[in-house]
Amino acid sequence: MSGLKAELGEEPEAYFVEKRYEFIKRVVSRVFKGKRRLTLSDLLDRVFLHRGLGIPIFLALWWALFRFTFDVSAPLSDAIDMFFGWLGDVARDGIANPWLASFVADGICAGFGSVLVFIPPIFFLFFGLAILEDSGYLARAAFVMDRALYKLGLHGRSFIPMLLGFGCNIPGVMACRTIEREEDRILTILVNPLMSCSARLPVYVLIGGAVLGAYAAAGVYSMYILGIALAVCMALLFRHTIPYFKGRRSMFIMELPVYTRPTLRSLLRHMYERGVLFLRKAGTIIFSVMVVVWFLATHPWSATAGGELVENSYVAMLGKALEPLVRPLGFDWRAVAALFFGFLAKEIVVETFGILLGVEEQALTSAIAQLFTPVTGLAFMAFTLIYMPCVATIGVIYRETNSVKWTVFTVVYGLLLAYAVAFVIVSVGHALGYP
Amino acid sequence: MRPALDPRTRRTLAVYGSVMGLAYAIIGLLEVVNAFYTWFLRPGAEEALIALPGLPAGDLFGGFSSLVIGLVLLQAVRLWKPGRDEDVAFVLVGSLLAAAFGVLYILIFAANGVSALLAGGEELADWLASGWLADVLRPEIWLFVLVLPATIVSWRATRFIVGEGA
Amino acid sequence: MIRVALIGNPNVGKSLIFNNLTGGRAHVGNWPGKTVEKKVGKCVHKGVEMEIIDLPGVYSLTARSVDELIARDFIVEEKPDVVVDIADASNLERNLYLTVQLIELEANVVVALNKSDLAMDMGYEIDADELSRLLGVPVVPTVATTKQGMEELKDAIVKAARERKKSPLKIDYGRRAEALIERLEELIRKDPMLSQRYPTRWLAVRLLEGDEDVLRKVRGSAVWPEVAEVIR
Repeated sequence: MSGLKAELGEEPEAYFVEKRYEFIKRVVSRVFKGKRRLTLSDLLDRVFLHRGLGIPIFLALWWALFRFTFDVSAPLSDAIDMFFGWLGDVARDGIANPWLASFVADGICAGFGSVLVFIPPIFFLFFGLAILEDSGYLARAAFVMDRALYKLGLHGRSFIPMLLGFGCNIPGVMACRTIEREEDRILTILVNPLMSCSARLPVYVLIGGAVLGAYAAAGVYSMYILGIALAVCMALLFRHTIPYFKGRRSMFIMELPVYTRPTLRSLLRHMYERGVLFLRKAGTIIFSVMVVVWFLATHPWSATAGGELVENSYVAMLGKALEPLVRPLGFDWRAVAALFFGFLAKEIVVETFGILLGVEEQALTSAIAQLFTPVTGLAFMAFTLIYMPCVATIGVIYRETNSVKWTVFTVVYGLLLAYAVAFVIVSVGHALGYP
Repeated sequence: MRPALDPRTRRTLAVYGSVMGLAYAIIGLLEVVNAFYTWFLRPGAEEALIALPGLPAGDLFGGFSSLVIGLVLLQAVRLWKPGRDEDVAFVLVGSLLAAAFGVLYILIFAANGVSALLAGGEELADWLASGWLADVLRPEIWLFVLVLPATIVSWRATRFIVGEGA
Repeated sequence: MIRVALIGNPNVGKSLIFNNLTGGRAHVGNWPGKTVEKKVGKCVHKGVEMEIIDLPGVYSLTARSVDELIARDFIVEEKPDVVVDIADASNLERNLYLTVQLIELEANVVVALNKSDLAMDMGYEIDADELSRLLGVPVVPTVATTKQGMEELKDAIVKAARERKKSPLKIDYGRRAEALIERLEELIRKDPMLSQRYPTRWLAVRLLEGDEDVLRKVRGSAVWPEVAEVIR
């Protein structure tokens, strides 16, 4: 088609589409009588869809969402944290049976409790997202991002599944069914896990809060932006290097809903619907895995002196075996063990830390602060973002792509990319003079 | 025929919008400069480069956001000369964004207070001594208060342009 | 009995018009080999029996999605007697894109200009007569929600089925493109398998646009090597 492109002056398909629209515009101008009255949506879209300001506005609102999620919910998280801390102390001192005492204090309070601490940010996140969605703004955000992505050479309709991925990657992957071309659909599915799901939020909040201090919110926010940027870069990379994805792409057409004033009731309902999924997951997978990890972290019972010396447990054996792989990144055996169990569900990364570190007297945050520096902490957050989707998402990817090849590809490129990005962060950080 | 917006209203909005836009843009730039300094040039520095009360020392994205609000409001200059009435939307949306951030920083001030109360002891003492003042003097809160009249005027203008559909 | 296909963008009121025409009674099945729903109904108007087939809602006929392929294949292979294109008056530009493609496909088009009431509420009007003159096909204003225009639409359908007029509309694609189109049309006419099944100009333009489905159809033809030279 390159000869044609030279002949016509642009991509042949775009050329013919343009000519048709030129004709249609002429027709329409001749049959239109009277001026179309402006609607509120027209007015608002003048700004929200503005070619230059549209994306910056999106980034600013996203930042506001994060400050809201992180900083305004903090008192509630603090309260839950204090409760479990108190309960853990009571259990440690009060329960006679050392086995049960450890289970309650280290397993339930330190482990499971560390995940429950994140219920407020998650609910606040979903509330904020509900405001953006119900007002109609989110469709505009998808539109400006898709418009930019289309200009970059990606296909249309890719950003809404990506936005859904921010809640949970599973609906994000399933939403790719709206993409017309099969090749484009698979491409979007492959990069969807890079959209930071709500399960990773506890990891960012924990690590970021521990080592980034006042800049914690910025650190969390940058994970989301990093996810978007990597998704775009990977999509472009795959499109240009993997022959399967080359070729003409799906068209970019979007229906925009009218702007509406969200009602408090619908906002709360949406927040509840999504938040309850998290609670349900917490009650089932996260709790059960906690039991397993607690067991592995406190046994062999005699070696760990009743759960005190975690370094001698099965988990430690696993962690230390894997440690050499991650030492260049500044991670130690606890970090790699947490990542290992995080395969089951990302919240379990936090839970594992809780169990491994809550064994000591200190609060979890200060323990994390001793484990990571700001640079390695940021690298760890990035690693969690990228390394691979949780097992449930992998299952859905397999179902939606119907291909073992693409599913394995997702896992493999995720691990490689995670390592590379974490390495770059650590290297750059050290070069800038940070420890 | 759609009624046109009164030129005097346009000019009022043009002036008000651009002045507030300039204010936001300047504050935004100051915050970004501060952040660059504390993050990249002198990591871990105690003193901010530009030390105004309430101005954050290391809020890069917050500064960026204020800059964006400023740029949106500055578009109000288009209202000075006769032109498209839709441009009123820049003032409207700009003030909506300003409101979002203004309310946000007020909520953060309250949340910090509650956190301090819960923590008690040294943290509470710190906050009562100086922390609360820094939170409350955040420029974007006061700029939001100043922008409120523009919100009202631009909303009225919008209702006028759109008719009862607003 | 005449076969009438209904087509239009999503959300233009196609289902409502389908119900208005068929009285709401439809035989629902699937398009052969696909999971997309196919609705077929009947209508009798002034003694003429009509079979109404509801095609999927599409924005264009580029055959990139399953819906578009179904719609396009039906029109090209089954050659319905009339194709009613339902256009949303409040979104005219985007809706006309499909109309124009239908005309290029040489379908027997009748345009139902729906939601005319909304347009009037929003303060403007569309000159249906002028539109009809410019496009070369009948245009009937309708308001599906109040059944306004339904009788006129049925009249237009019957008339179109009887007269079988081809719209004289031909979009000028520019000197260079038109030269390429002409060369391709010459080649296509050499192969009766192509020229008798598909409109030649439409085929030529789709070849230049790189339509994957069309390329597949032409690759099996004897003239393919020469065609490939032109579109290289």
